[in-house]
Amino acid sequence: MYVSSPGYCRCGSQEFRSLPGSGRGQIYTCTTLYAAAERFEKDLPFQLAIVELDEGARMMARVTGPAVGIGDRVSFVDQRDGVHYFSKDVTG
Amino acid sequence: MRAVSIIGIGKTPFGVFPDKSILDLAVAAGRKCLQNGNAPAHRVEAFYLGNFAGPAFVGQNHLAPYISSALGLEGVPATRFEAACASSGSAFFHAWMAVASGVYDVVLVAGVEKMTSQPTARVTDILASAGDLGTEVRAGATFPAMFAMIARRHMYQFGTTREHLAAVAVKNHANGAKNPDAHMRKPITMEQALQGRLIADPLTLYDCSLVSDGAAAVLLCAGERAAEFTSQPVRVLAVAQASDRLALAEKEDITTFRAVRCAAEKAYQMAGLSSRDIDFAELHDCFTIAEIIAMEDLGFVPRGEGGPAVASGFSSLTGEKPVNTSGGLKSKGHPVGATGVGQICDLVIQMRGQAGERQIERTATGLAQNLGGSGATCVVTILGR
Repeated sequence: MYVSSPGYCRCGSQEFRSLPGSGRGQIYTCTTLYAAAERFEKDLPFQLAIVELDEGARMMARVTGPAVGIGDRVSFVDQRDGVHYFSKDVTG
Repeated sequence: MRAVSIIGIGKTPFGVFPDKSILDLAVAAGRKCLQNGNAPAHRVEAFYLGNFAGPAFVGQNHLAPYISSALGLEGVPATRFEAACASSGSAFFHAWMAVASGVYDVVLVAGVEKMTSQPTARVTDILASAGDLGTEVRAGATFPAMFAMIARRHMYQFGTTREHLAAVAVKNHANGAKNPDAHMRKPITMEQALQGRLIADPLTLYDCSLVSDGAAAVLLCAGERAAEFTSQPVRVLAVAQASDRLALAEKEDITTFRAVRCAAEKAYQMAGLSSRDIDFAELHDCFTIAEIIAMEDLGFVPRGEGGPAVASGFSSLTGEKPVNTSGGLKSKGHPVGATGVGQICDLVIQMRGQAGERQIERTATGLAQNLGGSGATCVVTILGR
């Protein structure tokens, strides 16, 4: 499940509903961090990406496993402490 | 709206000053500014302060009256503005509004940050809090990481290269080496910039601005009264502030900043000028890619051509449109809350012909662009003589 920030719509409507996602998407952009804020230093180095889900929405996520590049196919693998983890599709 | 002029400026050097408190820095810049504007403290009617994270960096809150009273500005309204790295740009915008609308004739605007008393990982943490808490900070996103993702996408869409990014760092270090108030007065080579330690791929240490202490101040005055203080006022032709969502993932296109385009459009319209009329600029190079995108968003060059333009010398001291003659955030330093007002001081120094070794010839019209976060706030200011 992905909770985005509070929704808004130019028309002013407040009628939003949740939709199930496929958990699949592609890398819109990404980076590998070699320096981090103090509480994340234990995780270094780690990959962060903006994943573009097949449904169209984009989200910030951690990427585990092999290095990814823009356009690579990824799938959702886990959610811990509100952080979403994806990894590269083996066939992708 | 009536005309507004800058009648005084004052800055501390930017750098690492373990024996100077946040109050020492702000008061030093404020006093210099009042003296420079020939204005006794009792002429100042209001105080506007830009500061990003004084409470987190040094544990002091309620900073505006803390500083204004130390400057001898007895009883005046004193207010702090926070807009991440655009904090003092925002303070300047609101101070300008108060004078332009006729509420006050003389106001002091200052910006200050005291960052170097904290270790780097803690500084990174405090800076990261200007991102979206729920989706970015929690995932471990830092500002270098967010601008690295922006850079990678810009490279993918437009063919921008590592060499283009490094060209920004080399240019700004060359300029900063000529600025006696710069934090790092050291030219660097293209090889050094390309071989820097990776911080967030593809950005190296040389793509990142500095963690600095420092303060800057400007004195604003109703245009019709400026002659009472100085024979050399600089006119504020326009200032505009705009905003956007905090989270990078929620922006339609991360290779351009909507808030920059929006503030620029308003500012050009207010000044009755176009990007072609700007002689020189101080742009918010928190990361090298940010200067490239700013040149594109401000219309200095077409989209995607910022990198090649910097590499060709278009924005160097002797180029067609010099950018960051002060050394920029990259070499002059980036005491976050002082940066916006610092950029305005640097424009005025050039326009008064006081830039020494880095003095350029055409300085009739200058532009400052101050960016907050990954583009959620932008302030664009245009000055003229």
